[in-house]
Amino acid sequence: MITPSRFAVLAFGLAVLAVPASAQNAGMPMHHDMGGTDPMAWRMPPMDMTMPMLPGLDFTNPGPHAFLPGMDIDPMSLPMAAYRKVMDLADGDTLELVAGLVRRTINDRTFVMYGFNGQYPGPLIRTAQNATVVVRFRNETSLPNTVHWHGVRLDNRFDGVPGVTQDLVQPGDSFTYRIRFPDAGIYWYHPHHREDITQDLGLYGNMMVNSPDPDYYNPVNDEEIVMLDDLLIDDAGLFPYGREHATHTLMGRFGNVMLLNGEPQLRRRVRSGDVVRYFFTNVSNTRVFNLSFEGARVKVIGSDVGKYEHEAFVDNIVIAPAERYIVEVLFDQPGAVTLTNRVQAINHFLGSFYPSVDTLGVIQVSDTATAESHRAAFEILRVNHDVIEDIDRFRSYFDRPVDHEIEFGVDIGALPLTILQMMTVDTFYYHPMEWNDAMPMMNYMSTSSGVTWYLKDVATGRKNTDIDWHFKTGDVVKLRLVNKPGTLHPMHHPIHIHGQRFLVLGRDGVRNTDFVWKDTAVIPLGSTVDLLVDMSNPGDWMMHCHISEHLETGMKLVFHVDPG
Amino acid sequence: MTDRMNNSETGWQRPVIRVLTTVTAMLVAVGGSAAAVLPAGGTGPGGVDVGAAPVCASFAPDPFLVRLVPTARANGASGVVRMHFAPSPFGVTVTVDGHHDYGADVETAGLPDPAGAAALVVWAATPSLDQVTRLGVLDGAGRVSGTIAYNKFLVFVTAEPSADVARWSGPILLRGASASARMHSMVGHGPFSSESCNEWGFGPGAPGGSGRSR
Repeated sequence: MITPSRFAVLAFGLAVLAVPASAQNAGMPMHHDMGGTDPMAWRMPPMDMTMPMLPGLDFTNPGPHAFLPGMDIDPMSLPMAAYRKVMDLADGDTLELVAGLVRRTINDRTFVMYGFNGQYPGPLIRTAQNATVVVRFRNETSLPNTVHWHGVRLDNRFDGVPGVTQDLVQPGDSFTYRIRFPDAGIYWYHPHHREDITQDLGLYGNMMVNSPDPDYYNPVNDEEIVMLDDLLIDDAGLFPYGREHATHTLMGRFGNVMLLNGEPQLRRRVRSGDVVRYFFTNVSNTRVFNLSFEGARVKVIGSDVGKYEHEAFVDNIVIAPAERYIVEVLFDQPGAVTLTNRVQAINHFLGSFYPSVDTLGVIQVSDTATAESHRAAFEILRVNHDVIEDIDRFRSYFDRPVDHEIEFGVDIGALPLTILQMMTVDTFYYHPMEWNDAMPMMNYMSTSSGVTWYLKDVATGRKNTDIDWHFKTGDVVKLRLVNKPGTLHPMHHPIHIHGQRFLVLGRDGVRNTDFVWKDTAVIPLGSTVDLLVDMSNPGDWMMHCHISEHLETGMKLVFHVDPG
Repeated sequence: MTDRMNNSETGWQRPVIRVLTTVTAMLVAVGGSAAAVLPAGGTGPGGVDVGAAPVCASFAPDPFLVRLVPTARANGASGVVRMHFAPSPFGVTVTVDGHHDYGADVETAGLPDPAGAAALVVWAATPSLDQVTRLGVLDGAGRVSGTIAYNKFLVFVTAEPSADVARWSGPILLRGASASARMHSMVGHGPFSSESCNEWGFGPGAPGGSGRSR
């Protein structure tokens, strides 16, 4: 029976949908009245102007104070950030690492941002497997801070998680980290407090850990280490952040300017026949990239914590926040090879997908032949017996019962009624992956004070930091991660486990056939993913969603690994 | 160093409340009038008893499931397409242009043996039918597996004169749409959550529905 109240709700939902949709059909930018040139004022986030906006949202703001660091400082008084420098550190070496304000120029516009040691990205730390280095971190930003050494199975007390392994490093204070690197591969460091602001504004850098085996990787002509990012900029400047609470907590903060190693485009020149090994790290707050080298062949050889068992030729590389992928690219034809990000974005109002393409870089391939051809090695799909033998020790655990099952979900509290109504109406379908900010205003208006993403332990019903798991060093634990669609605005989550390594055993009942050690895995909406975790490192470790804004809402747990 | 903070004086509450107050007042007035002329019983269009029907709110859409419902030529037949990401080194499988790349396992039951047809062929197509992909021929158990690289699509089973046909030409016996086809349909959720899914073809009791819910 349709009661008057139910009819009212129904009609309201229809009105909310129909008014902007009709405006869109008429080609009118609907409810896009909130402009402004004050860089510190809340304003409509940059968005596709054909996208309709909910009535009543055009003059709203999220609630917390708008925040941008160093806005009272003349940018010209700050040092111009320099492109990252390589820091070769031997066992026992020390690096001074300072987080502070820098002046950056992006697309001929000047911004005040953050940098480690005045660089973008932060210094590239290059060291040897099994080395231990000392990093003396000093915080010269106005926000409390720490540094997390992502993916490294280091001593727990240096993991950089405030409230778990250390106290926050207050502005002007210091903390000394001792980092040992047991695994070869590509890793990265970033703050672990308000990274929705600090990481987004440039506080990140890579760590390249080299194996003592000279044949660990295939022979190539060159290597390039690339950090993928995006930044939200409009006519007034950098789009502000929430001071007391993170904004964009529904989907995470998507940028509209792509950055590769802090530059809008990646450019390089190679010779015909060159093979280049790329180490990609996705450091964006929430964006998943779908990379392709158009006009060149690509082979994937490694990921977060080392190499795959079996190399594979691929057409494209899907990389979620915090993941790393190592690929080799053969440039065998002269001309321009473009590095693109191609996704199918969603228009929720029209219920349609549309192609969204970003050109991230251009590689010019000269007519000159390569000085040393590595084509023969490129054509071979190597079988990494060292990786297989390492994983062999864990195969007997593949079919063990699930130890813990986690469900994802979100609790919605104080959000504008218009948004709540729209979210209720818009529950017919959610795509397994959110490739674009399909609802910029709703997303921007959602803050960590009104939205709580959670990890729920199915067995106990406990959520987030109320979960209390204990393991022993040497345990091999199977986790089942279930991303159910039956919640309000569900979406994918890139889940990161600190201090340990894991295998993705399978997805949705389909067993994986080519393993690589990981520390971050994306769980699409509707999917169930089984992880096998090698609890090799004692301490108190965090597991969390690596969408910065989801983490800010509390989507994290801490588990304890006792010494064996 | 200093940081500036600013909170523009118009919070979200004031304009939203202003709009909501106006809209709600109008809708309540209209709703009260409309309620007087709407049927009060538990029946839907055509007099179907919907009193015991499941509500869609408890039937969250599964993005990896397509239910196949019969056409008039195949009354009583049913089917489902269960999808999973195609094998890939990455956490999610998409094509170069960003379409999700699914492995699709088709299971059917109760299909008739149409006279003159040599094979029952399964196809996937974009909603506008500008692209059609042949998934394969149903085996004796009414099953076939293939791949689908569309984000929003139809699946249908046709009776064809040959198992080798590259283009669909025969009559359609079963058809269904991907879960993404529900976008912008407004059926079965939110304000409509107390209406019967079955009448709209989405509920477990709808023709061809397997009863699976999650």
